[in-house]
Amino acid sequence: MKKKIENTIPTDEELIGRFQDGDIYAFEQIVKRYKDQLLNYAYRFLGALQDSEDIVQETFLRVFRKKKAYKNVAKFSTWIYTITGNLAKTELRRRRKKKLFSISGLKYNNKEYEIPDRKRGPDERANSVVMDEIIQKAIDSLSPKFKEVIILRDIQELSYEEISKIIKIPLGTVKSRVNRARLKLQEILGDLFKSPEK
Amino acid sequence: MSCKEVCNYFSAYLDGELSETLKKEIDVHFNNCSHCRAILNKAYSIRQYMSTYIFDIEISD
Repeated sequence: MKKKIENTIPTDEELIGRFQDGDIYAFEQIVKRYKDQLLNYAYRFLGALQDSEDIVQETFLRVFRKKKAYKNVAKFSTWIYTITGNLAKTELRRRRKKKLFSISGLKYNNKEYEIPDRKRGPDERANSVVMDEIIQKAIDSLSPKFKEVIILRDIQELSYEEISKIIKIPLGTVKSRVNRARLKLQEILGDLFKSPEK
Repeated sequence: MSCKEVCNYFSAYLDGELSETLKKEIDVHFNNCSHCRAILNKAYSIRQYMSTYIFDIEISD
């Protein structure tokens, strides 16, 4: 008789459950699992690495402090993305205010960041940095509502249902927004990604 | 189906969320319309690229 092979990788919900019971190692696992994807999410939203790192750190701090606030009725990913998304939106509002009241007229952030990507070779990395910058600019040019859904769907690859819960809009609206956002991106980036056809 | 109508189903097509009947109908359009087919191919490439890009950065303490 064949024995059923048990899956040893714990789910997110199991990890947060263990952490709620006092297992710090489980929290470390959550950080490892989510730090890159949340940083990616925040960065695509804010376009500044330092701010994005701060948002991610604040997210984990909140998870740490308010671990009991998570109830196992929703997916853990929905919960943690909601925290990061809300923090990123607050940061965007803060920037807008700062811009409004800025007398100097200087840009809020003139820094340029080089994003290291250790998974690619030097040539590929150089090309990908250029490509990523172009894509980031294209995403930045979208309105906030389109930007939000395209990041969650096409970069973070969340389901439409999860996106609907995170940003609290109906499923149908999420789908139509993603559709419009993709068409807009295609308009902007169309020349960069040439169709294989003649 | 017109190009404009196809545009409404664009995402659902990319995500493989269409019913078999609707997908067949749109496939017929793509087979006959190089303009829509080109848009679809580009959008598919953009989405592929975006989904493979994840930063690999250590979060500072």
